[in-house]
Amino acid sequence: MAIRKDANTLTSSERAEFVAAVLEIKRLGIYDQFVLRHARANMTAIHRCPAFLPWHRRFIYDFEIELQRASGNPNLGLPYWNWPDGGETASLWDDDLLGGNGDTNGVVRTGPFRSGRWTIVNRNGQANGALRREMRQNASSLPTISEITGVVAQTPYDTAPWDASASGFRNQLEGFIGANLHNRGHMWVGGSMLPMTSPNDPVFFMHHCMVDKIWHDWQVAHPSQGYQPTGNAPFGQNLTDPMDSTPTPNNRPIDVLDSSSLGIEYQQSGEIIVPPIATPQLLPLDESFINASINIPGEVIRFQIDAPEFASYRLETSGNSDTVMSLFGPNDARALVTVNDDGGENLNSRIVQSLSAGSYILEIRLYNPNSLGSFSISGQPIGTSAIPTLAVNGVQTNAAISFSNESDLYRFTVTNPGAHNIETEGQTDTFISLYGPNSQTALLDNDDDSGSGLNSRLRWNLPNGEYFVRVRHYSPVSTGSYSIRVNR
Amino acid sequence: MASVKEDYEGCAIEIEVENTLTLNGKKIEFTHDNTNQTWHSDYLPYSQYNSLIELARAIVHESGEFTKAQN
Repeated sequence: MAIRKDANTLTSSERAEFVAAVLEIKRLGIYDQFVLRHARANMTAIHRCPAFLPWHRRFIYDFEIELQRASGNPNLGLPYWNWPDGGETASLWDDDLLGGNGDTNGVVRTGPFRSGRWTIVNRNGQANGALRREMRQNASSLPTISEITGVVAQTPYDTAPWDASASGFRNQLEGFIGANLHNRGHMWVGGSMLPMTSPNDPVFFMHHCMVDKIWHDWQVAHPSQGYQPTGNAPFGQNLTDPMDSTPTPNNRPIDVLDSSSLGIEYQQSGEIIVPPIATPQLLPLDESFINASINIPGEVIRFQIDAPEFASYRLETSGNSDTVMSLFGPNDARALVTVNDDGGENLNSRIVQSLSAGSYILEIRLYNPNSLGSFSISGQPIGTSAIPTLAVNGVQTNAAISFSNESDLYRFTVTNPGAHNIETEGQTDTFISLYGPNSQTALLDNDDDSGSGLNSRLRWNLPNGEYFVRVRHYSPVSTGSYSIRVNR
Repeated sequence: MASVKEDYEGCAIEIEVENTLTLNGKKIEFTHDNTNQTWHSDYLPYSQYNSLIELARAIVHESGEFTKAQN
C-alpha cells in the first residue's frame, strides 16, 4: 500500500528516502525512460483528451513502483504537491527535497537536482543541460482551495468533442477551461516543466500526484459518475481502449479507475473540501412541476424517479436555462441509461425513454459549468409499451443488446406451477433478473453466468402468475445478440 | 500578419502569412484556435499563446531544442 502524503508534511527521513530513490533510478537510467515515455507519446492522445487522467494515473503509478524497488520500501508513496500551500516558500522547495527556483537564467542551483548533480534529457534521450525553473514568470499564482473545490464539483467526467474545448470535470482539472489547475502548475514552475519532456523535473510527479488526488476525490464525491467516453470517441480514449504509450497489461482507462485496487491511499491534507452528495428529491411522475436552481457553478441537482411499471416516460425541463440531464438506473445509480442536452424546448433537455419498473436517478446540470440558473422539471408516463411475451416451452426469442446500458424486458405467464428454467444462449455475457408474480418490481433473483459459457440461467419453482425477466449485458458498455427461452 | 524574420536567443524564427512557422529552418506544426484566437503547439502542451510570434519565441526559449543547453 502506497501512502501518498502532502509533500510539505514529509519528515526528514521520508524526504531523504524519496530523494535517494529518485537519484538511484536516475543513475540506473530508469528515470530518463519515464521522461521519454511521456515525451514520445502522441501529445493529443494523452493531453487535451479524456485519457489525460487515466494515462497519467498509470504513469505515476509505474514511477512509484520503481521508487519502491529502489528504496526497498513497498509502502513508499509519491508525495503530492498541495498547490494551495505549495508556493515558493513552501518546504517542498527546500534543499532536502526539490530545491528551489532557478537563477536568472532559470538554472536550478540548489537542492539534490541542482546543476552538476542532475542532467535533463531531450526527446531524443540526449543530455540537454541543467534542470530549469522560472517560477511565476508564466503564471503568477497557484490554484486555491476554493478553485479546487469548484472543479471537484463539476460533472460529468468529460463530454464530446472530447478535446480542449469540452466541458466537464476533466478539462477543468486539466486546465483548458475554467479555473485551470493542472496546466497552471506546469506554467507556474516554468522552465523544464513546460515542454513534453516535463518529467525531467521531479516536481512533475508530485504535481501529477496532486492531479490524481483531485480525480480520486472527485470519484469519491460523485459515485454515480463514471469515466466518459465509453464508446465512439477516437481510439485510445474510450473506457476499454488501450492507451497510447502505456505498457501492457492493464493499459486501458477501465484498468486504473479504482485507486484502492492499485494499492494507493491518499492522506488528506484536511483542507480541500469535497462537496457532499445531495440526497435526491423524489420527482413524481404526475406532470407536476418541481422548481430548482443551480446556485453554485458546476452544481448537479439529483432527483429520484420511481417507475411503477414498464412504460414509456417523458422527463423534461422548462425555463430559460440550458440544462443537461443524465438518467441512471434502474436500481443502480451508476448505470447510465441516457443523456440529453437540447431535446426539449429551446435549450431545455428532454428524455423520452421506455423504462423498466424500478428506481432511477435523474441528474440535472447546466451545459455551461460556469453558469447559474433555474429551471422546472416534470415527468410523466406517455403510454404503456408492449412487453414481448415468452411462451413457456415455446420457441426461443432472439434479441440483442444493441447499445450501451440497454436492457430488454420480457413477460411470461405460469399456468402450470412448478420448476421453470429461464435461460439465455449465445456468445453474449448476459445478466438476467426475474420479477413477480404479478409485479414488475418484486425481485425474485438475479443471475450472471449459471448458464453455458457466459450465459445466464435461473431455475425457480414458480406458482401461477405473471413474471417479468430483464436482460442486460454484464458490461454496461458492451453489446451483443442472445436468445432467451423459458421451459418448465 | 506579413512575413516575419527574427533572431531570438540565437534561433532564426520565420513566419510566412500566419500559416508557416520555421525555427532554424525546421517546420513547426501548430494549431490556431479561431474561436479564442490562440496558438498552441505540441512542443508546449500546457500553454496557449495570443500570437504566433509569442508561441515561436516560447518554443525557442522553453523546448530546449533550438537553444544551447545551459549548465
